Amino acid sequence: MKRDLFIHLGAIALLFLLEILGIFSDYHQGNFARILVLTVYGIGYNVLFGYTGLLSLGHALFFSAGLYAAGLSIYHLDYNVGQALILAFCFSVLVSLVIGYLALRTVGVSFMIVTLMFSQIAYLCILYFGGITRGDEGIVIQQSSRVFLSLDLSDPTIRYYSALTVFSFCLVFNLWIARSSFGRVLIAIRENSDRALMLGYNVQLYKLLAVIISGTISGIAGASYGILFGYVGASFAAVPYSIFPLLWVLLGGAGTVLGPLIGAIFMFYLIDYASDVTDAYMIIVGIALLLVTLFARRGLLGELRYRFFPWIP
Amino acid sequence: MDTIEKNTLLYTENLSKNFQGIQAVKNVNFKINKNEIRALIGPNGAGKTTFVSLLCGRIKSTNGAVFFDGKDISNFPVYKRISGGIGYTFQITSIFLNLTVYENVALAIKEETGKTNSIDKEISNVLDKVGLLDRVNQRSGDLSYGHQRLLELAMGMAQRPKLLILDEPTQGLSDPEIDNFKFLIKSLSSSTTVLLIEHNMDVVMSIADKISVLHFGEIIAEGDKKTIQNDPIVQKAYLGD
Ligand SMILES: Nc1ncnc2c1ncn2[C@@H]1O[C@H](COP(=O)(O)OP(=O)(O)O)[C@@H](O)[C@H]1O
Ligand SMILES: [Mg+2]
Repeated sequence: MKRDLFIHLGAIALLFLLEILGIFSDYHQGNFARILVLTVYGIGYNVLFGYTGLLSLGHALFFSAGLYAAGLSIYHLDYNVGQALILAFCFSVLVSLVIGYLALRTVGVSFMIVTLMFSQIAYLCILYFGGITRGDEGIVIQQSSRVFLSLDLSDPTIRYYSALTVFSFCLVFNLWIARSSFGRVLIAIRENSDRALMLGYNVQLYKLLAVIISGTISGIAGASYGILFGYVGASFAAVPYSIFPLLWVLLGGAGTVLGPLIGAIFMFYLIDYASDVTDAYMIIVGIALLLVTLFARRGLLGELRYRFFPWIP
Repeated sequence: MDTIEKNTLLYTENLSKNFQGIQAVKNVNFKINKNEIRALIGPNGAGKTTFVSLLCGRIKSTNGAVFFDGKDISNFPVYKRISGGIGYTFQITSIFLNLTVYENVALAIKEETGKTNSIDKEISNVLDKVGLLDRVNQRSGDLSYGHQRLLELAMGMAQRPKLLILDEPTQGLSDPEIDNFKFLIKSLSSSTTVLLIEHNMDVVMSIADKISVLHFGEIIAEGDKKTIQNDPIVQKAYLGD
């Protein structure tokens, strides 16, 4: 039971060491700050998809709930970073509670469609209320507003450590869920929800809690992204941002704690290198995705777990 | 109802279920006492699975009421009936195939049982009884069919229900496993009431205190083994064929 803790804390320690020892170039440091925040989003998505078995196509809604709650409150209301984070957290909980309550009246394909529709509604609202959100163009959060505990969050090193801190908390929280009896019930629902119900679990309530946890972590990712990178735009609420976390999770391994990190790193650098080689880089990305789904159906870490290390949470 | 005494664990009033046109269960008035082992028999399609599904809430009744442990549970959702003390094992094996035997049983144990240590003990205890202890860390999907049936039974026992409903549990078991099953159910009856749907008449005759016969959704006979064996209606409808 201890070795899983060792591996996950080890991964966090490694990410700290890379920075402390100055191994990152500026370029990779910036990339990794972004990857870590996006991984938080992937972790949130994984709670619902990987652990509970509910496939949402509308998670951009939760990401942008946090993103806009933080961004707009800083931009329009002069909130400081701490206040904006608290607001974003509360707003994310509320949004996921309401959306979860409504969407969970459906299952399977209908659930996918309903979540997609809700997220499209949110996207259109952001465009429609362009007077406040500045629509597609988005808003830039000034460097002077991006200060937390007198740390300048736009400084690349501080930004990296901030992203890593948020990531570390979410990763440990995910690990705790995966090892808890609560997480075991989520997995039971994923594996056989009929049976879980017949063992006396209130399956609907567990699903709702999973949506709330998943949506809130996604919202935290959104808020962190806006604050650390200083930009809040409607593209984050559009369909591709609902698909990305699904891809990271599938690539890394659905229902594994470190899967979203592996998936996000893999995809980020794949796109990065492919676009150096050709303009049609999405073809290379597509081929790589195809290969992974053909030869590692469970994702990279998922395949390792299936073949060699069944104890990986 | 005329004879609802305080040792009645569950009873139904005019319980009925229609599936578009088919009346699978018709006005059933059924009563089971605490610590009884009751067998429910009847030909295929008689409505046995549907009837017990109405008891645990897996299927909503069209009409009638279910009383359990002194309460009208007719409008209780499934999880509330189960956590209130009704355990149910599926006719078609339904376990968590990708999880280990250990995890399957752990899921069946109620939270209040407490710490990991005592849960581990409970799991070992239950698995030992059904003879699966040496497979505790195996993926349950890798078990043989018979062993999966036993795991299903172990999960039912681990729930420690007041009423354990078993839907054709011996299907697919070997003879020694059936003997062990009979022994297990008998030993359970000091703490649990058992409602057993069973086709194997040898099992029924050797462990049931009382037998109910369901035919076309109606209970056509009820009583101890002798009564049922000698009942002309039953012989015509079921035993004779
Ligand atoms: N979900 C369902 N929808 C329609 N008809 C059903 C359904 N379940 C059972 N039935 C019908 O109800 C009758 C009783 O079935 P069942 O309770 O499974 O019988 P048994 O368990 O005694 O073999 C059968 O005629 C069956 O076809
Ligand atoms: Mg049946």
